[in-house]
Amino acid sequence: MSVRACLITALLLSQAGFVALAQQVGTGGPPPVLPLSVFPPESVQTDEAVFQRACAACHGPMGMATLQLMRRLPPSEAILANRRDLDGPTVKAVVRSGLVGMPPLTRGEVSDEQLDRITRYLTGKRGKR
Amino acid sequence: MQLSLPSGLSPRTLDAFLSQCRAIVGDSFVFTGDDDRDAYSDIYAAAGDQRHIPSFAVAPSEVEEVQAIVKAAVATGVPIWPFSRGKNLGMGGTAPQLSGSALLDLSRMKRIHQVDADLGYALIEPGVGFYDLFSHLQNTKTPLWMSCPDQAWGSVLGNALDRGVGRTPYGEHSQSICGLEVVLPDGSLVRTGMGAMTKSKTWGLFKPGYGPSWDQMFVQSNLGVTTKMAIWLMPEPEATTTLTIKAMRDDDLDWLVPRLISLSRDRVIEQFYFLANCFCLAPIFSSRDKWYDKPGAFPPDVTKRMIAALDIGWWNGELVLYGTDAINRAREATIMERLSGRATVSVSLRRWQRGEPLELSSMSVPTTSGFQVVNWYGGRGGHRVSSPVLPSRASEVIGHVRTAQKLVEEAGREFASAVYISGRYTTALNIVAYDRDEPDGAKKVQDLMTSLIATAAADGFGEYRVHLDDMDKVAASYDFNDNALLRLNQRVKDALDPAGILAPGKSGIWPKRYRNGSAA
Repeated sequence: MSVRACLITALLLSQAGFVALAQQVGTGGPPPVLPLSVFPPESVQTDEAVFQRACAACHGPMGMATLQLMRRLPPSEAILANRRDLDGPTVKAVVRSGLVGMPPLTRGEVSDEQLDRITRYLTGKRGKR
Repeated sequence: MQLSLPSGLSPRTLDAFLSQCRAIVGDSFVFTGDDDRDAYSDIYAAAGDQRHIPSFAVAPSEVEEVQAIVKAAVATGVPIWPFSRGKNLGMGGTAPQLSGSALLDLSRMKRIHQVDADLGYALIEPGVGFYDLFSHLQNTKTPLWMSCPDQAWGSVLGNALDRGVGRTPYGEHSQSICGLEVVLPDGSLVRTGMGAMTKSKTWGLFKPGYGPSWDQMFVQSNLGVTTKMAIWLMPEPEATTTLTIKAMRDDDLDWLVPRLISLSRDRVIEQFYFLANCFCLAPIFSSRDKWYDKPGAFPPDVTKRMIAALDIGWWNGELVLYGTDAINRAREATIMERLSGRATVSVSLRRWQRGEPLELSSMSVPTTSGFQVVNWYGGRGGHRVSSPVLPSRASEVIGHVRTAQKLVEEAGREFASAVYISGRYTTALNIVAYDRDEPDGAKKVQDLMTSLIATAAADGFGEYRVHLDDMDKVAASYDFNDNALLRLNQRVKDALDPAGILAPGKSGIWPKRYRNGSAA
């Protein structure tokens, strides 16, 4: 994926901080309507909501992890929730140990029970198209 | 990971404290495994650097539990290191200054007790992150805007207590604190400001309270565990304008800085704004090896090729105006006039008015994209930052940037630089990214940080916030009258925390029992 394509993809996904700056200086003109990262309140306890609150700051559109994954994956697959190839042991190992620039998530921040639900959410689409 | 205890602390004593913590919060919220200690350590430390390893972590959810844990720490003498969410990853994250300290993980305390949409404040606990509060405000359609730091994975309360900054009129976050609830080092509970009155209706409104004001005593300090904070939020403005600056040459900095400072002095702009060089922006979408495969800092021709390909400036800036449309347009005109006339500098603008989609506004929103700087060199990335405070005088700002650039480039690294400018002072961020597994990385990074800090101090510029490894040397650099400020801090510390259990070494302030390197 070209750098230009990455920037345009970024434009379609978010705005904030240095990214917003990169988008604006990188393309000229005003950006289009961009989604805000709004997660469900704690009262919503679906697996997806648990994932969003715990992971989507980095793994949502234009999060740090998404940007990192965009270096080797198409943008749609760089969004973790869109992946179809994740398996449970891998998800749990990465969450608890970290990977590349990703820090581990402690059990104080994400309990084992919450990690089970996150894993169920991320692996639920495995193999589906 | 190897467990080491502070001198004078026996495994038996630690076990006794551990048992008490389990009794207070339950087994489920005490984390003692090797994997837990790894996860709670300084995860951006260079490989092999094991100077800040906790003994275990305990995660209370109620203030009464915090009080009980502090009292147990006093009774046993076990040092505890509190943190809110522990996401200040270039500063040490969740890790304690003193290895063997038990961690007081406050991330489960996530209540948003109150948001006053009319008067513009929120009352929150330490575990409330920027995304949590932002989502709450959006989900409840509350017309209040936050001020987020560039990396907003962390705690609103923790960031304010560590003097984090954003780019809104509320961007000096510690100055938006309006009353705290604090567990003191003896386990007692106090509220500051108007929160000190049981039936107060003005906790989040009037900072001073009655008599001495203590809020700032708990900022970057180890004098209490903050369990609630009232913080001011900005009412949604009628309109915003964002002006984006793109400067194509490195020496455009010399032209831009005096003009930007003049805009602050004349109050055309009334909050922090920033200039960031291309090595802050390039890591967002690329890694170093895409542009250059030789050791040493980029030659200028490589940098020029990179910024042309990325379509970014050598220096890039953003000014945001919040107000009414008429006021913003008047300010825009002045800014555009003062920043015109240089062929290599361009300014574009974007306007928003209330009622249009918020996504088009210049509201401060949480992001983690700033973390990408750690991935510049590939591998397992990390970063450290030197952040000296400079006078907002063009010659001194530019002089410091060039001095820091020389030090970083002589160390063989690209110089990632951002300057946050206000009318009186400017904070320089000299960002040092690295691969945690690079050979001899811990020493090389520490040597560079030591050099940056010492050089700034020699020029009269003190750091405002640093990594654990630099806290002692920065405290020592505030050296008037034989370090009288540090000695005052130590006297207050010893008076409030005679057992010396709370965050020993935070900001270079060690309790008596650990001063001079040995337990009393």
